[in-house]
Amino acid sequence: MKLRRGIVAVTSCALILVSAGGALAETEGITGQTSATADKSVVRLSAFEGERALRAQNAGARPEERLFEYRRGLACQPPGPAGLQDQAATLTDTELNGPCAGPTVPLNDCAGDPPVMPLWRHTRTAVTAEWEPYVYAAPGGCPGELLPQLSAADFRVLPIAPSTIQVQPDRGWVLVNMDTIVLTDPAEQTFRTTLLGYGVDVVATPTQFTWDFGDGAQHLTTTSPGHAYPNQDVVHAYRELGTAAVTLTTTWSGRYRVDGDDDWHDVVGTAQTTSTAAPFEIVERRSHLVAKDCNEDPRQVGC
Amino acid sequence: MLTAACTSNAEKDPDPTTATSPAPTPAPTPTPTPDAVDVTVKPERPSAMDGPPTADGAAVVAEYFLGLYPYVYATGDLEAWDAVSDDACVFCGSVSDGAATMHAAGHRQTGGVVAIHEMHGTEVNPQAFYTVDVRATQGELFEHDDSDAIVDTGPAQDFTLLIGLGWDGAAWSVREVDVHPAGS
Repeated sequence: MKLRRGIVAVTSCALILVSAGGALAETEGITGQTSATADKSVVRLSAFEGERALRAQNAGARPEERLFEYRRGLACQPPGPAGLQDQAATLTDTELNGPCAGPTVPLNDCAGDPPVMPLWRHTRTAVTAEWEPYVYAAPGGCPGELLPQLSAADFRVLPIAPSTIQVQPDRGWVLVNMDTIVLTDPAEQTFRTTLLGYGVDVVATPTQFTWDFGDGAQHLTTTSPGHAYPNQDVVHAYRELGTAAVTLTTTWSGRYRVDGDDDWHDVVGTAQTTSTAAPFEIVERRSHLVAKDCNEDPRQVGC
Repeated sequence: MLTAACTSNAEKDPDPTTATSPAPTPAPTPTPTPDAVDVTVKPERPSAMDGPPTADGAAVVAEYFLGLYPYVYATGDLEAWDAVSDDACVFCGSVSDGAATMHAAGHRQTGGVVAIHEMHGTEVNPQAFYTVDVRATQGELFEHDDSDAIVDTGPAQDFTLLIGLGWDGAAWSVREVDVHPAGS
């Protein structure tokens, strides 16, 4: 998005803009740059990084050996008008340093989840020295915001390999009116990617299979990937002679784990892949009584 | 013509250095006010770019980054900008794209010097991640076409920024920038 010039200026210039046939050139000021400003992405990055620092601390040196220490606590309401409470410049004191003179800064409403307080950090010059007062380190937020979230869009750009289709019998032709078996390999696929600079493990699992048998019949949607003969559970009987190719649309669900987090989280949303098998003939075979095995004497009557 | 009619907001000029000028002469056509800073001169890379990673060092790097902003639009030279920008930084990429597009069209932009009123670095994750709060004004902008005629102007703007900077053990990079126009 490019800079839209100041609202006041645009209003007062509207007629001139029209008479000029529209202004194509636009200056590019800082406030006009595309950024994730609406998402407050630096605030989020700070929250992630603060959480990482806290986790590293808790997994690291023993408390009595620490020269700096993180702790979550409520912020004291800064003097002056309430402003951007996430910004360090306005958050200067915490009740961790003693009771606030006034009210504390309210926490986010996390729709039922317990909100996470801002993160504060204090230091000391030696393990025998007194701790300095806590200073602001990072914003709090809601539990789900403290690590980057893998969106459905992020998930869909992963190079998920389409499912392979196996058709039984697998000989280039199938019999009309007889069950043709289809199946696929339901193996999970794992990916290593990055999200806002964080390493992320992602696992894609096929959860739903939609089979188009290529003969105009209604598509069949299954949660089973199908199984090979004699345990087949996804079959189709072709009713017409001809040629057909099976197309499989696989729906993938995802889960991911951000480096530094022990928990796996589900991706909200799914991805789809499509694969098509080699076409085959749908043929008719009639049985006849013959004198000898046709393999032994293919020239005899009825073979 | 277009810009001449649009730049009469003299009373809104937030630039503190000109606010006390005894007699600002209203210009009939937009003329780039001679900036104290020549935006075509590449800002010097501060030694803080090489560390050590501290909150103050992050603030120096943020100031350098904001100093590069008008330079890249004036010259189209993205080398230093890209060197300090993380690949995933959306704001940084937007500036690179915008400057490249502008220069590909033979245009350039002057003005837009960022005057920093206040800044404050915060150590979020030692040796790894820092934020810098900035309160600043960006001066008026002038877009010139290939014949150097001014084809557009943008007003000076006050804003606050929150700049997130990463230290990878050897170098700083700007991970992302949040911009809040003043009053928003």
